[in-house]
Amino acid sequence: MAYLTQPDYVKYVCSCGQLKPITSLYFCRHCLKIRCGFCICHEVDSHHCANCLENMPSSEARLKKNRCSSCFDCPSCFHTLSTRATMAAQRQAQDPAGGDAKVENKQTKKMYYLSCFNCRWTSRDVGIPDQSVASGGWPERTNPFLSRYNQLLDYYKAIAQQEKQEKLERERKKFAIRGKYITLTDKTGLTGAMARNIAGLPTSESGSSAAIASFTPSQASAEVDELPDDVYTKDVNLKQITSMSQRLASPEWQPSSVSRLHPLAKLLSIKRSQRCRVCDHNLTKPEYNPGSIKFKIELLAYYHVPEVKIISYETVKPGEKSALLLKLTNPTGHEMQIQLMQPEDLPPVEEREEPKSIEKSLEKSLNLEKDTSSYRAIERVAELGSSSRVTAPEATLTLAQRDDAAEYDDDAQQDTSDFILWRKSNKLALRLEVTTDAAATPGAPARAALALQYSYRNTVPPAPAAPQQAHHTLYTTLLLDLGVVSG
Amino acid sequence: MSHNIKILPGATVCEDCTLEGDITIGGGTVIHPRVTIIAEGGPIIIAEYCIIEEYSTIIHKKSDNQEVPPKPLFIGAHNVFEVGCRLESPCGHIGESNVFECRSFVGVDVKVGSGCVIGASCNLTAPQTLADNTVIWGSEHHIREALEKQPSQLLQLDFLSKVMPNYHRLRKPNVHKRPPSARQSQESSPRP
Amino acid sequence: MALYEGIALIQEKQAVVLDLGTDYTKFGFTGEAAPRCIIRSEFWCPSERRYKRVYDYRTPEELYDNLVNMLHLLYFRHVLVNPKERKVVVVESLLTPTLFRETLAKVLFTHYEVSGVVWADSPRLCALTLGTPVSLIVSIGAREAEVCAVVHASVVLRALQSQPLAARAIHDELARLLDEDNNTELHLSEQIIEDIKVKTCFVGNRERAQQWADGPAPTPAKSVQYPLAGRPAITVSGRTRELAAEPLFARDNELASLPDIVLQCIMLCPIDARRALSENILVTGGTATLPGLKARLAHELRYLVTQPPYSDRLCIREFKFHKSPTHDNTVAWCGGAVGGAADAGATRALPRDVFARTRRLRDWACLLDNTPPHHPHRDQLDQ
Repeated sequence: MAYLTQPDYVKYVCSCGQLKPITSLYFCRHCLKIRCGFCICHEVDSHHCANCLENMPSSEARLKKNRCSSCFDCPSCFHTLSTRATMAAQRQAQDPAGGDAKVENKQTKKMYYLSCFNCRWTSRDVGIPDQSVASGGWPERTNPFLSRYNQLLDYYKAIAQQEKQEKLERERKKFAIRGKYITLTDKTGLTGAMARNIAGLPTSESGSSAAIASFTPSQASAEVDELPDDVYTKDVNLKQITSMSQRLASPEWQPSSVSRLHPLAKLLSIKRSQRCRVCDHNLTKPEYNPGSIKFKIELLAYYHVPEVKIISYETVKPGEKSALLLKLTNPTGHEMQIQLMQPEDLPPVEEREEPKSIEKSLEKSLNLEKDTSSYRAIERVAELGSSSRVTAPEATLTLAQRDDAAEYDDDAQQDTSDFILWRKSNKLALRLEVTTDAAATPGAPARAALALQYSYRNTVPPAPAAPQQAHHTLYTTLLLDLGVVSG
Repeated sequence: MSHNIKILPGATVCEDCTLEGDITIGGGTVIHPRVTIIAEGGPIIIAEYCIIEEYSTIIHKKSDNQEVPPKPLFIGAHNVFEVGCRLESPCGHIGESNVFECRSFVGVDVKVGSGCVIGASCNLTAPQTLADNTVIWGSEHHIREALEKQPSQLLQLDFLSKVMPNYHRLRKPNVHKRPPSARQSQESSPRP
Repeated sequence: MALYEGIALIQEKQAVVLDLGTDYTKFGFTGEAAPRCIIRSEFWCPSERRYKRVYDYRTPEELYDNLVNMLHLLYFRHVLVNPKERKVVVVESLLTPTLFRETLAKVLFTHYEVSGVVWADSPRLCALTLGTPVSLIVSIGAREAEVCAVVHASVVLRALQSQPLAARAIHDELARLLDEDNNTELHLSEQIIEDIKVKTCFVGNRERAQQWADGPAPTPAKSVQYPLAGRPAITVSGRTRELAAEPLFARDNELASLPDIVLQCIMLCPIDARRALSENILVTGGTATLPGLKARLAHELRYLVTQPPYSDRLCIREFKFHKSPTHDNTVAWCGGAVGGAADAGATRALPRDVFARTRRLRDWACLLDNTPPHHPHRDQLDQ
């Protein structure tokens, strides 16, 4: 499919106003609207390691800080490390007497080390001893600041606890003290209790006071880290100093010397499920198995919305008419009626839907998304109308349902209509005319907006409470990229 | 141009490769088909146990201030030239145990030490000297220093020298006595 | 009671701490000693086919899009949690533009539907990591150096100092010096300049800086050949290595150098806090990691305080420095993680329903938030 590498020639207008190619759009069968990655809700579904394709339950992933226990990344170039085996001679075999190769072979033992195929970094470079087992067992480092950090954590937790206790007590006594002044601590301060503690106010006796009492604040010293004496005389070996990305790849240690780089446990990857924000139905749901790239639910626009492709077009000139050949495809399993329209002739879909969505938003207590998105849509549609118009024939076109077997028929039917080039199972080629605004500046990108009205048969079993109709007339707007306006 | 190609016993040289000029190929070296080695600026001497893979090119370029007699381009033992790499160095000497990865390019004014790795698709055009055990990788040409030389590919060499004759026409070794220069280099190279 | 609290603790999802810096974004969980990731504040923009920085925006909508993309990257590529119904501690500068704060709030509350946001300013979070009652926070980041006095958990706002003396200033100077060294206009990318700075530059001591300025020039440190991809290597002279960070200390009549703003901040603080401030200085921010910078700052402070105009207004002679319990570039983040874990964001967070109702954030610069309740004008504000 040419969609991945080529620029997006045909873009659809999502219900939120974003312009996206059909391959990155979704179609909510419950709202009957096009959705895109911007206006849907993403959720983490499952964790897995992308290298060993091992699934990890979320609780375990949380425990292991989202890192795989058996795969490592290179700390030097961030490529995945591979485990390599060597035959290491054991100590006894290195006797001067053991000159015979055969004897030596019997006493060797398989040892494993990590090696990067990209930058040739090995775990031996930084003095990590080889391991006798193929996976796991690599030395783990602890954060050098951890103990002080935990002291701080205990201290502030104790203070928060105490603060809560005091508040409860106050409430019980109906003894509301409101400060006369709003201090900054009220705004965001996490340290109101700390201030009280420091100011020497009596603290309520509780178990947490021990942690507060035993806490020692940081001690300042007049001495600062001076430059090493040899900085003016020593040669700089750039290869021994880590780069910023190498340092920041391990936020706990941030080594500044290459000899302190340690293998990075590989970060897990996730599978996401995506949900429509309006109706909370899933749009995509991946299969659980990390090796599978299939979905349990995939409501992609590609399977529901008629696809438009540009076959070819004449160069667009200001104030002139040019020909445009389009191909329409019906991806659904039902016959589809399509009518081409002008974007401004679309019935005001948004307004018709508005009361419903306001109800929804009240239910969800807020929905600001709607505001921004609708105003976005207005802005961008206005922008696309300016360059060229596609003359839309009045006729309604009928597209047959998708039939995989029909792919093998190769007799293209000739249609009587003058603007239909050919028809083949669920595909239809059209010859249209593009009228370009005389004011279009040469060199500017030529874009033509086009609206489609299409019939859609909803296959969702209707809910027992509200019987839905199965046939709908839907609208979509799309933007065709016709190169640049020529002079 | 004089076609003076010396292939020492034990070398595996495919017939389907372009060898021009005064070239000496050491024993144990494997040259895949479609390799181009052109010695126009002076002789090229390839020592033992090198692997030169398909579509790689080694040129000893003619330069304006040529010494007379021209200095040979000496390529040390255990070098690996991966598919599609290109070496244009007239600077006399390439060390041992280097790896020239796929589609890498080493330009005219680059001196290569020993144990270096020139990463896939790295273009070294600016004049520079690579110290021993330098590793260059990535489009940004990140540089690091390896602790030890790259391990030699003896298993691979063994395999290739057994398999190649089954599938390719080979050039016959035409020198039966070892020239002194080759022997010296072999002695200085680390024993596998 | 305790039982219920325990349940509440289990149900409350671990909050995340977001420090969205100009150059680097720190993101991780509360209660952890280090962020899960420190990444550049940029994301791949497929329509423009380049990496786009979060802070590159011309319109509010563009900023909104940038923040949506950046947070998506952080949540789903690095930290791998659902943003929904999870609290966020946002570490922000006191001088964050209102537009940025409000857009970030909109993105977090409406786009990612987080359950609450704690807006915490970085100076007080930095002070949290020390646990001292009074501290002077000098944070040197990417764009600006900020000096804040935190006295008993309140920022002395009128003493707040900020100057564009940070990584950008160093980068510009470094680029200029490198052009001088190599006699050409090099046009190096920001990343390469940063890499040269990180790998070679340091801040020389006061005497040497004086010598460089007035001559005779001291023996420079060793020069370095810095290799570039596809270009000849460039020379980084010893002078360049030493003087790249000099703009931070360059004094002029405006008295706006780094040591000057530190002293001015102390000078503007209440007189009884000044000694304590000068004895509790914490230098943080990514640029503070530059070798020798802290030492130079200490020397400059000790010298300048004996000079007018400070000598007649400040009676402090001693400057003491703290070591933060984490790396310099993650101090504010770490404070957020500690503070967020302590009260689990429960009491100080701005909950989503409140934001949805009022649609505004409290801000220290806003009269609505900083007018005391019994002030004569308070009634007019409440209307």
